[in-house]
Amino acid sequence: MTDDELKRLWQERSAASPGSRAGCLDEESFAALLSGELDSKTRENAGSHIAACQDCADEFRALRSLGGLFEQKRPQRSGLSPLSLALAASLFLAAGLSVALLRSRGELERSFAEIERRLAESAESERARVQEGQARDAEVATLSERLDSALAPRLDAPIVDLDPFDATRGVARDSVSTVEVGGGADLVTLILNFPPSRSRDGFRVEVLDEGGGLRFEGMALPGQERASVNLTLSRAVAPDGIYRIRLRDGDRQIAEYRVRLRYAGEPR
Amino acid sequence: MLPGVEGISFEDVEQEARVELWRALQNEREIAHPASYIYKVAVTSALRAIRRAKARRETYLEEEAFDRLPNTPRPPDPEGLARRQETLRKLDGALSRLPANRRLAVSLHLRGMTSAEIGEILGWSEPKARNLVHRGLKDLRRELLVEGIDQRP
Repeated sequence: MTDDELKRLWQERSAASPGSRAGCLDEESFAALLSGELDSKTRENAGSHIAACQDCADEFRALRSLGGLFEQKRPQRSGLSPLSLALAASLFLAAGLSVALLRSRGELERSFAEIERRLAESAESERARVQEGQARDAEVATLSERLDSALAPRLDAPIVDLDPFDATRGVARDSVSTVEVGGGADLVTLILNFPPSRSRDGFRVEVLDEGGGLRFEGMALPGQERASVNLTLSRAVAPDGIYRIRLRDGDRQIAEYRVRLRYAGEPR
Repeated sequence: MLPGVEGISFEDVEQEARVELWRALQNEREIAHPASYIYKVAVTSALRAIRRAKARRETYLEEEAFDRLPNTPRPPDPEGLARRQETLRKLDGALSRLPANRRLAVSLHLRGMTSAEIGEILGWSEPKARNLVHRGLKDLRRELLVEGIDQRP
């Protein structure tokens, strides 16, 4: 009996029971086998099976013939989106298979050019997506910092009594009270004094910046006769600058205050 | 033609592999190791494509064979069948007495694998695989002779 006869005999055996693929190598096993990731024991098992199974032997040979396709770069870490991966994989497949197919040079070049163009587009949108994500992360970090700062207890936050700017005769109408906020504090409490008054609906407080922009408005408790309202301003709402504060009871203005806020030191 | 899969071209596999690959990647959200992932998807896609192409070809061949069936089927050759079964039994016996490495190398050789392919499957160098096949075949001849089969190269 010759070597060829022996081979034929051996190979006919598995061909005698076609159809059943129980125990055959699955996709993961083939991927691991081709990438050299299997340990020696598992390799031996895979080898024994291939030796006994014509289908798996054929598939191993077919996958192996796609050669360059599966011998590309080993794993590298990067953060690509599925779209980029799909394009990269397409390039990967196109490269391996196209070379194997020995396509005409022109066709191959066009194919590569198209894939590279799409890959570049995808990379550009990927970069934009990453930048957008970074900007969002920075914004969240800033907001989180501000929130932490706002919730932190304060010591020695200044409290300043303010009289209406035109309460005293002879004071110029553009007179401004200056409030120095020292020690890195970023909160200041202003006590807005005014002639005793009662409001049915509550006193409305408005804080306007130099340009007339409304920085804050709120309502103080209604019902009681009052001679002052406490207003606490944060550096985030009212940074260094001149502000006009109006106290109203409905449409009627009760008092107006002008204040220049000056913060010393960096915000906490 | 794709080696190992008669009647199937690279083009058959390429188109199917591309579709498989896109489908697989579309369903993914987070991929920790892209290169490794692409590699696995590429192998998986190609294998599925090969299996589908094979199934199509087998169906076609079965239909063709059915169309060409003679009116009276050829009677089986029980004697020839029994002889072949007996030879196979002896071959199995002879192989089982070989050292494990040589047995594996020879089994794969009988399956039609080259030394390079055997080396890739078992993680050996090509010269090592060739050497083990050579020595294994020598052992096998000796064992087959004991079983009454004269096997020549």
